[in-house]
Amino acid sequence: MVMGRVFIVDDEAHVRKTVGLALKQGGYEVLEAVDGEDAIAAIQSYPPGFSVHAIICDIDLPKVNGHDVIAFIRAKLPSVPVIVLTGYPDVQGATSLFKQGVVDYLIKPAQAQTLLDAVRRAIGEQMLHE
Amino acid sequence: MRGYLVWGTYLVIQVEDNRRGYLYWNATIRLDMTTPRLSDTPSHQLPNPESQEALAQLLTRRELEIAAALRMSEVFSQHITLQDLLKQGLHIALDVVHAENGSVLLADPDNRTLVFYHSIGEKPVSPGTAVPWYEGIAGTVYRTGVPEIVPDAQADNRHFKKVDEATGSITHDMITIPLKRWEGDPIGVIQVMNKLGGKFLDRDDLAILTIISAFIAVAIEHTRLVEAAKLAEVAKLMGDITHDIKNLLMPIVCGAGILQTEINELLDRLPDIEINRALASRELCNEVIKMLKDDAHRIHDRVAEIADAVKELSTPLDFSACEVAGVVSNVFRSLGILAQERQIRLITENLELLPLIVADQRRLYSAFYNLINNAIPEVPAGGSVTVCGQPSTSEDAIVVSVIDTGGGMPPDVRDRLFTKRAISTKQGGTGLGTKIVKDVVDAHGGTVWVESELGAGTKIHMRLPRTPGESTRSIIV
Repeated sequence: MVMGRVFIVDDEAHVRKTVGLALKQGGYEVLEAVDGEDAIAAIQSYPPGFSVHAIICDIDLPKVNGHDVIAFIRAKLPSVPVIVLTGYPDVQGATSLFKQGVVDYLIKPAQAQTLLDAVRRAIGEQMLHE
Repeated sequence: MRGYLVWGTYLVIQVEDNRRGYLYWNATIRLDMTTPRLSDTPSHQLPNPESQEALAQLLTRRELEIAAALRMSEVFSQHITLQDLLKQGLHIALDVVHAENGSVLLADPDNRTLVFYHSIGEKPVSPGTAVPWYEGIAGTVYRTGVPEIVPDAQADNRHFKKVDEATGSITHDMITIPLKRWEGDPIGVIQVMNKLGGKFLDRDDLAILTIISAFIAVAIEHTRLVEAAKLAEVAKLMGDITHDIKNLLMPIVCGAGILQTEINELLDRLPDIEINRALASRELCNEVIKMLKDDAHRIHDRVAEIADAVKELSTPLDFSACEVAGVVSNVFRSLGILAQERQIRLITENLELLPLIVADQRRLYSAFYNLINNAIPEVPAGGSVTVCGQPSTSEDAIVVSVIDTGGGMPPDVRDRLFTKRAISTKQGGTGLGTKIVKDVVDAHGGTVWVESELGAGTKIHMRLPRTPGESTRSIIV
């Protein structure tokens, strides 16, 4: 049974691959984008009725940075929870992202269980809101 | 050298270094060609050339000054190390004033001393020898910024006779000149001793040596600026490397968790009889997966800490009750394979006798890791690295020593080891390891010192308070 659909935005192929494997093992369907521009284009191309249940997004992204991608997601898909996964953690950045509506802030290298817990929590909380 | 010109009583010299095909460094040195002010004569101008003899004397001195400046500028253009530049600078100084010995002493603000950085002559002073900067002739010149000619050092009660005793030479006449940064504080002094040929060092010699000292001061300052720029570049690179390593560790950390889940699910599906048989396999898998996760985190922590050390942005201290034996055991676990490959024994002695201390366990791990990791490559096969708990003279502190059976260190490396002047002599080394050790010990308010002789191994001792107190300076033996 598919637990939900998660969109991974990260420019590092091996990060997308391992995060994807962890989520698939947890029963999630996975979509990927290789940079900020690719992520925005993918979201814009979603047909009506197509739903994504959570987004895991890096911050240091080529072409369009993570902050701008998250701003776009929050405007376009306000009900979809966004989890940040970054290798450049900083308190100021995290505070600003939480103000943007990010639900969790994970630091690389994150464990598989930590990722799964964060996705489950985000989707669970979102369902409660709905 | 780009060029020079004499402008009134000033000599303006421009130096540029375009070794990489572009303007790399361009410095203008402005030298006061008048004889520098002496402590006994507030202001001394060039002699008025009233007679032919006086004029000839003046011209001879000018020639010597310009010749010294030209020789120094040639040395500048050779792209040599600071050590070689100082060596050549001192040789020129001794050559032009016909003196026996010369030294460059640099200020060490941490210890309020002047340290003999380089010394030449028949009986040179050992590098690293330090004298207090608040006394002595060198100290006076350093503090006042006014050069001095001392005609008879033995008759001057400020003269450190112990330096003479250490070298086996006797200082007679001496000139001491401050090494000054451009519009800045002095950074040390240069001393030239014992004029040859039955003469005494005089004001003409001082004028020439002033030019040479100005070049040397610029060279030292330039080297410091280059080092600072290099460090800033390293800090930036370390930030990028840390980020890359975090990304590269992601598959290991995340993948280990995925494997653990898969293996557990797979083994749980086995019939009961097979589950018991597979028990050993399950334990082995769990142990290996734990090792992968732990080591990935250690790699991450160490890289982050090195980046912090470079940027001097240490993570907040996290003090808790800590057992040194446990920390060392973790380090041995991490470095065990490396030591085994090199046939080196890792030994502990009396660590279990040490009391608990309040310490930042992660930082302490880092200090021991660096000390042991630095020692292993120095020890020949069959040797050992021992971490030994030592009885402390105080009940408030513990002393732990890392003792290796390696080749030992030459005195200049040993004396600089835990100072800001520490430079790695290993190929590819950065000197960061010893900086991390020093920073960790300082953060705990402890002290670190080294005993080492060539051929007799190295002992590094750390004295750590049982509860962290005020920080103290390192002792260099």
